[in-house]
Amino acid sequence: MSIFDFISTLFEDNAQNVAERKHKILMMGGRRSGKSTILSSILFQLKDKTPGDVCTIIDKTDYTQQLTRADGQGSNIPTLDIKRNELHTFLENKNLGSEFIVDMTPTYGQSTYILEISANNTSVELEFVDIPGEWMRAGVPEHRKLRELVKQSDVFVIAIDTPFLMNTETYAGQCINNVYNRIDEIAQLMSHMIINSPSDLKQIILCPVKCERWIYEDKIDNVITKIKQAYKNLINRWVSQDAVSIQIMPIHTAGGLIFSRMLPAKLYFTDNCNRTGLLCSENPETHDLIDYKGNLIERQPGDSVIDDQNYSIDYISIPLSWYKTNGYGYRPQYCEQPGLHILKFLVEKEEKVNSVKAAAQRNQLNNTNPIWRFLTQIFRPTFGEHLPVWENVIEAFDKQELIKTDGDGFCHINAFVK
Amino acid sequence: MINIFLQYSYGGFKTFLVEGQERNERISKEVLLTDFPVLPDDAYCFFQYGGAKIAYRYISDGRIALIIREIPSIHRDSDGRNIPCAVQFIGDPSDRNTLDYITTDIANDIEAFHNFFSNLFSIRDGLFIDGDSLRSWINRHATQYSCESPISQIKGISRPMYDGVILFVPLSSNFGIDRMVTNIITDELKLPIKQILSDKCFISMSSLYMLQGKSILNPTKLMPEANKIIHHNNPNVKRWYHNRRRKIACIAGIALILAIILYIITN
Repeated sequence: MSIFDFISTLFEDNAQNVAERKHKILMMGGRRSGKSTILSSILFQLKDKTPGDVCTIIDKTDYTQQLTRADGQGSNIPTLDIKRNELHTFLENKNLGSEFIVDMTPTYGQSTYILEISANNTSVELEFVDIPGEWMRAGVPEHRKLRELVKQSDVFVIAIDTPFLMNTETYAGQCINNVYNRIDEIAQLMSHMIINSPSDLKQIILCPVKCERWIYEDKIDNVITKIKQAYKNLINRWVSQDAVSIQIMPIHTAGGLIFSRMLPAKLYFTDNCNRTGLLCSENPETHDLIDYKGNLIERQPGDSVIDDQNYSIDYISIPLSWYKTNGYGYRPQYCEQPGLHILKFLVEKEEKVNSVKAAAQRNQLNNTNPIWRFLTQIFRPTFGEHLPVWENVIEAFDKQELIKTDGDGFCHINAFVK
Repeated sequence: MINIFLQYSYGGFKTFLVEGQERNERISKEVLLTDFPVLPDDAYCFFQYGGAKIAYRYISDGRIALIIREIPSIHRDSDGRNIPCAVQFIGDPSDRNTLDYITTDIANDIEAFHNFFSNLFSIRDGLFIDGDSLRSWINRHATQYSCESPISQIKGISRPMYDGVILFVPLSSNFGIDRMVTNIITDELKLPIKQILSDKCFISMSSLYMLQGKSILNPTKLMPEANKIIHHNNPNVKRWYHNRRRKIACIAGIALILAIILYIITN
């Protein structure tokens, strides 16, 4: 190797280090299961709740992507930044005890959000990838792209819509849960996950949301049992692999929102000229129609009510989930936990990858002549140079008891599910 | 013949082919993986990623695609917000004039296009579109645009050009300013970054909104992004450059010391 090549390798190595410190986190789950809501909570909580003396978190996402009309009015495109607050403002306008549906604007195309986490002189980049639930469908063109994303990702956050998960007493309920939460598709997609080496750690987080009712009724264990049963194929495929960590983390994205019941989705048309209709359900006890905001619809001559075909997936009619407020208002809880667990996991991964590389480099250096070894040690620091920094970060997290590992449904899955 | 592809959230976001023949056409012909390559990757990517409001470009199979995204649909979420949809008009090179005039009209009055397009739909017993009206609207653009005073730069898109991007309206006001943002958008949307920047054929959505309905325009105000310098704002890149400078200085220092030692020894 000439001196020129040597200088080049020094620079290449540095550039490679920058590239390698990028980790991809893929959000998975069915349509409107809560992927974007979880993601906005994670980003917000990581930015705002991580102690500044431990590490610094900078959001590098471009939030200028929105429509602004000439009159200065904002657009209707809910960016992740807007999504963070939408449940808050939505809940403020609801009366105690009233029933309504929560069906926010669905994600439209793939979005990427980048966080840079730095401690002392080193940094890692977390790239969160949010995709629409429809990409899970095997026949669509986007499915190929999704398979590639699975191969590239280190962490998988699987959003689970708890009311649909728990409403599986009947065969119809099981079918609805399967298509709504995309359980089979996720297990199939995750079979494309690639573990390149023992140090190539992967993390799967099963994240039930909208689970406040079961928390307050002290029945979160039932949710955990259901998750293990429903995601049995996914869990059993990966649980025996040392490089894969599987965790369950129930989070309360709203706090004051309680699942009430499921009712078929209907459309109410005032007359034949009405093109759009009004989303509603029929109260099974009184046969009254209630619109999506919870208001009673007064029937008129010439009106009509039909099934809403918009609420069907793969030819299965999906009922509307109705919610109530419980008076607690907007009180999210444990939303920071997935983010902190991801951070801890990636730090551990970084540490392991660096240790392996440092050991390999040491071995390589021992076989070279002393002058070359001396020059290399001066110009090219070992991969393990930042290890103490990240070790300190983990230690600080543990010392401040920031990371929740058990209770309230939090658990590691270490065994096969029967 | 201009083909119409629609992305609409009905039972989830799906891509449909619209025939545009009937008064009340049921939208049911979904574009699936088995149908490919009905849409080349450099056109389909506009349905897969955000970042664009309008894109008017030649695509890899030689056809021309006009894409409009973030059109408010008649569907609303539970907070009362319109759920967006998107449309692509794809024509042969012989449809260039028609597509030029359509683009001119849309870019000159986006709200008017939103109103026209979203009013084509109805959802009684399924998703329907007034395909007849949409086809008539396209055919009306075969010879001219209908807006009274087109934005001069948008009118200028009809200049002879047989490849690349003709007009791009990014949603981000950082496009063309921030390197990382520009790279991500052009990478995801498979846009030729050099051509876009050199031809200055882009204008941000917020700038375009400011110009709606104005007939006399200053071209430098029309494209302020193109006049700004793209700079590094990525800390990792900055650090990389810093480390590189440090190492070069270190090597130069050692080389100097070695040269001095060599000089002393030889003399």
